[in-house]
Amino acid sequence: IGVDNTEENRRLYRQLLFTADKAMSDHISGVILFHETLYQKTDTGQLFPDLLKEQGIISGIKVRGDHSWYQGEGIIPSIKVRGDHSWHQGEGIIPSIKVRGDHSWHHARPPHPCKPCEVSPQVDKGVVPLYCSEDEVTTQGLDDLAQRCVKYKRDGCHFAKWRCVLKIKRNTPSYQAIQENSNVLARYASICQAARIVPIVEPEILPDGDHDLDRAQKVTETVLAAVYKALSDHHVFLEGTLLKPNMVTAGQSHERRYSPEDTAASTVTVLCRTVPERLLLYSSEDIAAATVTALYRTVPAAVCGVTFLSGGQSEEEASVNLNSINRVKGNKPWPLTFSYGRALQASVLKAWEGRGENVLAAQAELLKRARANSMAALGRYESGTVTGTAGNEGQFIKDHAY
Amino acid sequence: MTTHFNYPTPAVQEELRKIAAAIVAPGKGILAADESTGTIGQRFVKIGAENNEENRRLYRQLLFTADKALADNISGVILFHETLYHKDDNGTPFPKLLQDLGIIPGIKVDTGTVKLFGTEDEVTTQGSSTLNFLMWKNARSGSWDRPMTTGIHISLIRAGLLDICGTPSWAYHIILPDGDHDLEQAQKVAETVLAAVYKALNDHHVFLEGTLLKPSMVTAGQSCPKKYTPQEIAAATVTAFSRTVPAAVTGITFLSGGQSEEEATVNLDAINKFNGKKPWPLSFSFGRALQASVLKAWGGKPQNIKAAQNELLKRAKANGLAALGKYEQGSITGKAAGEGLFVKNHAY
Repeated sequence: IGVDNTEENRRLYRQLLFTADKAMSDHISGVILFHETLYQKTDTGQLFPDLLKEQGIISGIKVRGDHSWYQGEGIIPSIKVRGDHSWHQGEGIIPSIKVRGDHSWHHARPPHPCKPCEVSPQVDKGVVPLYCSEDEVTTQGLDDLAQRCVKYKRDGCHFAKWRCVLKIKRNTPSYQAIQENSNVLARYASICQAARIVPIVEPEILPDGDHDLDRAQKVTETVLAAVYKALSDHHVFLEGTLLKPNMVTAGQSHERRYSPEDTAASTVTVLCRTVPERLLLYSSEDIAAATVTALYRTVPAAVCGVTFLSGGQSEEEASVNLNSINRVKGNKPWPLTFSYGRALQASVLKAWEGRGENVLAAQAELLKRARANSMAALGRYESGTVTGTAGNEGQFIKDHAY
Repeated sequence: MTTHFNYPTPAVQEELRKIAAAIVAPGKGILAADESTGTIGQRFVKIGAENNEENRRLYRQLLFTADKALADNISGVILFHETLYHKDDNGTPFPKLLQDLGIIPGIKVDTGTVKLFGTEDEVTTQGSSTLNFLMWKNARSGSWDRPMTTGIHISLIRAGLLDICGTPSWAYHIILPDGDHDLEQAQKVAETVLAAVYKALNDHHVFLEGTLLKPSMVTAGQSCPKKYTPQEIAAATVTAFSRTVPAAVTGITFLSGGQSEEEATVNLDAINKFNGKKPWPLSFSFGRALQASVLKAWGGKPQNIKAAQNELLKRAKANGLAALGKYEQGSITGKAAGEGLFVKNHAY
């Protein structure tokens, strides 16, 4: 939207969101904040978490590792992370560097891909590559998480979010990635609970790829079973957690490749003979059925609730799918609601364009979308009844880093 | 941990689902009449009846010809291999007799427990297959510092195979009530074991909607000095299961273990009355707790058959009510209702 990424703009934008209207709290129970935002204030000098609290909205914090946090607190690492692998082949830690937190970071974690020693507020590399995997990752940030959680709780956050990422390709997600991400999520959850923070457990399976719905469902079931086994192993109190999963959808390039508009491309013909169902686009009901079935098979009833991520879905898609999920017949033991980023903010950003005179219009967009999703969470949303400036635009970003 | 596997075909899924759902239809549960020859012998000794094949046939005939009304509360019967091939006095095979009543026959498939070498007296279960539903069990001691090992894996590989054959299978896990552990310890063991069971089922791609779980209720050890109320037992049980048993599992049918008939019914009722997360029907698969009064009334004598059958109907009704959370403690009494049925280190 042609807006400079400055701290002031980031503050102004979040202020826009949090001062929308009292009615927001009819639809929004909590807001996940980035570290910087937690300590920002409104024009009148009120801290954002306090503003939200006044409205009855609970503040949460995204906790995975990001060097800017350390810099901001004056904690070193002034560790030069070299771009080769020699450091983890026994050359050890440079003796003059003080390494804060626990030492798990040097247990064979590959070099961090960002520039050494520099802090860029835009560095969004919570994920790090798993060495020797086929481009798979884990999420870092357990070091000092305990201390950070204590501080966040004191500063007004009552829940936290930690995103792990898994990818569907021919041979992935692998055993290594599933085991590692499940375990790190369990450790994160455990540490949060010790600090009386509710962990949102987010094992996102990216929508990238051309796999069909069936494969997506199988991957989701396998991953979630591993996640809940790990949570059990780490004695995580399930009643004090939330799950933030992807909905079960076919890969992003699956739909484009096999849409009905495709003519007689040879690949389509070949696949026609072998996998005829791939020619069909999946309906919202298909997605809902696959999603709820996967959850039924893996998510214990004790889990307090499920708050879906929107992934690359458009605002409207995300609402319609959530609605269909809530309409699936059967006794679902957990509330099924939303934890949307892009799918709540796309129209907002488009309406705002960084201009002060557009703030009210942008806030109106937020309220509209919040209301739509609120209805969807009750199975009462009618497709197309709430439109916005970005309603049907896909929000897919390839290999999204967050 | 592959993500490339197959779901059962829609036809198989449908068949398995239907059978499993029928077993846990509201107000119904299972009569576990699958005592092995040795085990039924133990029951007969207590009533002074000889343990021969004819008596075993006569006794099961007594059970299966009780009355049409039996099917109001009994959805299925688990049979022992020998019984599967027995016939009633008119020459009707027992499975057919049951089916004609609308009761589903099932078969116990494990061949008993064997010791796990190198463990502290732990066991696994061996055996193999057939028929409409199968029962597979795995006995675990209640001590919670012992590792859960390969026993779970073996039994669940079988569960996977059976699913492919088109027969719903039963993950049957007993945590033996022997011991002096308290309720909290029992709950922790249950949670740990069940989490491992369902992880293994997932690893083996078992179609959960086509399975039932037959667990022990979460209770303190038999020799625990502290006594707990049915409500406490219900809370521990439902909490443990809500933390570990996926909603997709079609139903849970408790075993009675060493509980008396009345205890088992009252506890099942408390479980159903308990206000917690219960996405599955919670019913019964009782052996001793359905048959204690029956055996006592029968005493091995033909003139007592009607009285014995009456005991069965009464107890089946009581448990049917308990499965709906509608049983009033003490409202249905029998010849052995209050007698403890605990057998030390029960082999089954």
